[in-house]
Amino acid sequence: MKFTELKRSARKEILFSVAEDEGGALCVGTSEGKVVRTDPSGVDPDAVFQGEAHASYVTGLARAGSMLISGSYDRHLVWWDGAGSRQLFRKSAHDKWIRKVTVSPDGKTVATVADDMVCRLWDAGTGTLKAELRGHEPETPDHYPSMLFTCAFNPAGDLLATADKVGRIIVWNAATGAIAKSMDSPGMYTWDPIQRRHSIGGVRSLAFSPDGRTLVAGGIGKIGNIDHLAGNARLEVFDWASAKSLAVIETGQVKGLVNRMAFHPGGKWLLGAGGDNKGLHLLVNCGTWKLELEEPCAFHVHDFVLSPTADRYTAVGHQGICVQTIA
Amino acid sequence: MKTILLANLVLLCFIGPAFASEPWWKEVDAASLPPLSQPIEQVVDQYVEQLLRAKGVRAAPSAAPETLIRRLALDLAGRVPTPAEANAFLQAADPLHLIRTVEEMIDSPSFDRHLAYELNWLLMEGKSTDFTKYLAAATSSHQSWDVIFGDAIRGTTGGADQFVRSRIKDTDKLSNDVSVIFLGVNVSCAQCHDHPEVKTWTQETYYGMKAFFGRTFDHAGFAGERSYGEITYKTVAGEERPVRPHYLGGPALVEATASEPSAEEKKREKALLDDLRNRKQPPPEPGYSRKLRLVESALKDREGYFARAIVNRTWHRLFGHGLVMPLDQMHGVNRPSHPELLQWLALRLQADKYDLRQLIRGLVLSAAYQRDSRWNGSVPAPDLFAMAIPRPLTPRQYSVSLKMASLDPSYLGSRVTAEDLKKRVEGIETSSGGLASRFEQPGHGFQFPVDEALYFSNSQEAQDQYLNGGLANHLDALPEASAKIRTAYRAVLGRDPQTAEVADLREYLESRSDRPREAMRQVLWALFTCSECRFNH
Amino acid sequence: MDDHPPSLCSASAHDISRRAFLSHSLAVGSGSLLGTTGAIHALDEDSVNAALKGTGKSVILLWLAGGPSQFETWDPKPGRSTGGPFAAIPTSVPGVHVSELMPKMARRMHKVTAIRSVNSRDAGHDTGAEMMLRGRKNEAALTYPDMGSILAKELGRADSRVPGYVSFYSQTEGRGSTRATPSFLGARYAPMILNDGLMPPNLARLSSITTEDHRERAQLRDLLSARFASNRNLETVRSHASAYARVHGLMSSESMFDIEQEPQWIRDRYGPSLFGQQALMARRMAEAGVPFIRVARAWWDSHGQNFETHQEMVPELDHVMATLMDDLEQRGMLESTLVIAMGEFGRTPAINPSLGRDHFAAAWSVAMFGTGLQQGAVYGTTDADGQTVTEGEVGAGEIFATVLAAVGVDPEKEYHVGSRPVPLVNPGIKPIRPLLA
Repeated sequence: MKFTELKRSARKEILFSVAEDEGGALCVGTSEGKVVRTDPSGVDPDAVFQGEAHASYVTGLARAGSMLISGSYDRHLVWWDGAGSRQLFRKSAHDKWIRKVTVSPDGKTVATVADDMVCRLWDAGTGTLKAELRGHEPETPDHYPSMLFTCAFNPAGDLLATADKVGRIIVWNAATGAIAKSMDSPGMYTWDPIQRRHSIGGVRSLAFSPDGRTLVAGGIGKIGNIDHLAGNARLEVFDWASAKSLAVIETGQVKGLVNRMAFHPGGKWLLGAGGDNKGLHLLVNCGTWKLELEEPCAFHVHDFVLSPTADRYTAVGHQGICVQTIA
Repeated sequence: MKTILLANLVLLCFIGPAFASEPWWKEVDAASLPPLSQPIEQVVDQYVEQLLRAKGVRAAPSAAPETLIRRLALDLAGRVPTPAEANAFLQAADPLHLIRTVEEMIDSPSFDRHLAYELNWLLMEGKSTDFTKYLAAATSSHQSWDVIFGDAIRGTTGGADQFVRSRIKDTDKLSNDVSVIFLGVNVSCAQCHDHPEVKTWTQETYYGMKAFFGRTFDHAGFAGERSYGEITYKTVAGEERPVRPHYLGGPALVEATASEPSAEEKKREKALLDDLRNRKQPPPEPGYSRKLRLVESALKDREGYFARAIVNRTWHRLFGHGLVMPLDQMHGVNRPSHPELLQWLALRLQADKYDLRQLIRGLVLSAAYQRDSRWNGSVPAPDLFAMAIPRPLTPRQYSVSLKMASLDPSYLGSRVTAEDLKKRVEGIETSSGGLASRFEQPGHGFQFPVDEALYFSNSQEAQDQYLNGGLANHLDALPEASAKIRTAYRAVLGRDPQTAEVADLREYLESRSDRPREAMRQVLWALFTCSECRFNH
Repeated sequence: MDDHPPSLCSASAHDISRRAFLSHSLAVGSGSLLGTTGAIHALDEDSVNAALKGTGKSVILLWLAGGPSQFETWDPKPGRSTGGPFAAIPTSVPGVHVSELMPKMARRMHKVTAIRSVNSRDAGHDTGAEMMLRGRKNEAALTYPDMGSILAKELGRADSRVPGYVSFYSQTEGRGSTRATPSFLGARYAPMILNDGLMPPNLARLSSITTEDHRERAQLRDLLSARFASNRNLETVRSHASAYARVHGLMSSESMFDIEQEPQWIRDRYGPSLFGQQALMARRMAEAGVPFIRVARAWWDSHGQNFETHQEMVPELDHVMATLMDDLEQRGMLESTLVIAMGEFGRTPAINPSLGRDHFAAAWSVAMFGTGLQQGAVYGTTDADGQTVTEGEVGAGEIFATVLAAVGVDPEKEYHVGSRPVPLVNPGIKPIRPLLA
């Protein structure tokens, strides 16, 4: 296998989130609080979605049918008409930063996680709050504010996994809100109780395998000097039903966070991307749970979309957009 | 704004005596100095007495023999005397025994170790590096001061390179340290403006000294030097000026013009250096070395900075006050207390080929060194050397002495063979480093930190080290209080107690007769921590 | 020049010895062995600052090692590309906003003095820390004493039973390089350093030695030393006696170091973090008369994940500062205590690919509150993106001078190193007058 960079365009903002609209056009959430339809080649001019912008970084973006739903550090969710590029309505959704927005496979439910440590489920069409999932501790064991970074539905859409700063992962029954299982990936918590009393790690990304049996958590391993993201990228693979850890995978060549992961539709490999001051992407063999590829890439990646045919992915991140082929 | 700041900085520096056109040493009539063959101690006393007479001050008498042998051992061996050393000194009737004792101590390995320690403080602020090993080898092979200077600046022999290497990232510090340590002058005042006192010292003097190190570079743990490259400086007026090496304001160094290498040559040089770096090899010696020209300039210098600087430092170490103070202001306008003496000692050191042993021998044999340290009322000016100035022990002197004193007296007693004694002393001297780190190196205007007092008062380590050792057990076995007190005094303070002291402590011990063992330990503690033990007096 | 013919066995030496020693029965034990002897008393005196009267003022420095971001604290730039994701919130001072991460200090802003226009010109950790703690760069030939040592000397009391300068530094970042130095002021003004735990080493008596033995051996030591010192009238000799004379005073301040003596509800107010506990200790010490206390909270050096770092650490700072302010106020100590929160520099307007901010000394903020300051004052401005100071630029020297002036120390006072006069701040450097009460 190998990655090849197909095209890249530079941006002045930081792009935190990406989704494709119904027509397959690329939409991104920016550090300027906007949602923008853009051409990864940088040829066509941007189309900024019209309406009240977010007041902070747009850190979550997902599509439900013809609508796009964005979430931001400003604690609000906004529903957008994808075709008309205009705002439909906005909701005050969380008490702290919204970290991730995702939509269930059937397109009916929007899940959001935020640093208020609550996962909320919303009706994708009306924006009505359907459920609140509470189970992540608001404080770390060391009395600092925790952070709820990520969430992911399983392919069947009946389960939702969430994960936080201290490495706690909870699998919820999406229909009832009951906890189906919880497990820990303690290696993701980079706390040092004596010398540093500070941490910058946590579980940053989650992905269910196509068969729904395996759940992978992505983040960063032990960091010596926590001034920088100078730890190996780290993945932990769980048989979630038994909460058993199947494998821990760490990079050796590249360093940083794994901010986003996606499985090959046939379950052959797992793609991950993120970075430190540089970007990184990696490919894991799902038969052996060993790294097949780990390489630097164009920039620190915050989010990506994988093409349905799984032969390429489009990454957004620190001042850039990049299309990579996987062959 | 900047100009104003610089102008104000001028005021910060010394406002000294009126500027004399000639440095003070030019006023010393060389022909009137005693012949260099005269014994050092005689010349010292001649000039010191001369000033005392002129000032109408009567010096303190000689210290008692037990005080003197302790002082000599601390200064020469870096620790209190062994019982054998003390007894030999106190019992000898031969009038030459003082000279013999001094010479034996100077010839002992203890002297080499102590000198290495002292020089490591002078050159490396006491840090333990490979330079420490270099100094150990240099002192035990009786290297002269000029050789040590050359090795430190050249920096090629094992460990000696640490002097330059440890300062290489800051050429200002490197060149200033070299001036301060080896030449006794601090020219950093002239970094931003011309020296306010020594009119001939300009900014160019400062940068001229720095230029000697302008081609020195850091090469992955090695100090390299190129044979080309010039430095520039910014004048007070903001003008950028190139500067050639000048030795302390003397004329610019005469040297062949080094042309900048071509791009191709630079590329080749870089490739060579990269390769050497990868193989962890030192860079090649330069074809022409400015650093070595500095060594040469200092040693050939007719003004005599180099010799005077080490004479003054050595004097300061042994007398507690320099002939010139401060030690880094030995310029022409800052007159010594005894100009002729300093000039003569410097010339004599050159004649002795920079053999510090000869200098130290002469100084400690002088009557000025051997005076009593007691003086009733306010003390005379220190630069009269009318009394011995009590000096706080260095960390090493204190820790080795405490260790030695706290052992069972028989460990270094008369039954031990000379060979074993040597080994045991070496063992004590070399194993006390860890405890030495508990104490601070005394510097100018030293004040004792409370940490030391708390350490002795409340740490288990101090308790174990000094109060539960061989001496304490030995004292327990003695049957009688007076004998205990006498033995403890001899071991710790190196003298017999006075009648009043015995009486006081006897009374204390008797009042504690319910717990004699503990009581004796409190007496020992008081002896170890009292000022008499803490000072070289 | 005095010319006293040396009398080797002075009358005063005899005074000290036998009579004094025996006139107080040793067997009594609990009585003072030597305490009433005049000659010994003279040695107890701390001659170093005997002339100085304590001012009763204290300074608590919250040392934010690594350099916190001014954007995420005192000088937010919301909506700018350099501003980061946080919002700004209004404060109790109309028109003044701070980062949303500091709601508690925002409510107390009318008691704060903030300087938003610091250009300290040095963005290296070690050199920047040296700059901020000493108010200027060292010279090759002269190391300047740090703020703590100067204030220990200037604010300390001669008869103090507590240390003059205590430094809490539990974390490693910047600990070695910002080792406080008294330099030419001497070890008397070196800090008591607490790197592990809240209790200094060697402060408590060993259980293996009785109180009586501990006291009596100190008295024996004083007797022997007094004999030695009686005819060696030198500063260094006296300083040996005064170091030991301070031992029992310091040991009696042991309870000052015992946080258990604070009611639980007060400990709870400061919160469970080590920083909070150390801030409470600092208040206890200020209350007990310690002139200068540094509490270091490190790892602000957010090259990676600046925003999450500040999300984690600013609320702690906000809470600890606010609690300290309330506590000092309720005890009537705000009139005598100055609290400073600063690091060695601020952080870059630019956001790096790790969502970090790097070192930046050209336009950053320092905050203070307490004695001698104008309350609710915000001094200086930066441009819209926080790239440069636009008004009221000050450097490390001005901050240093302001701190001195606020606690009543004349910044132009001079020390002497040999023959050289050394003013407390470089010539031409003035305190920020509009900020002084």
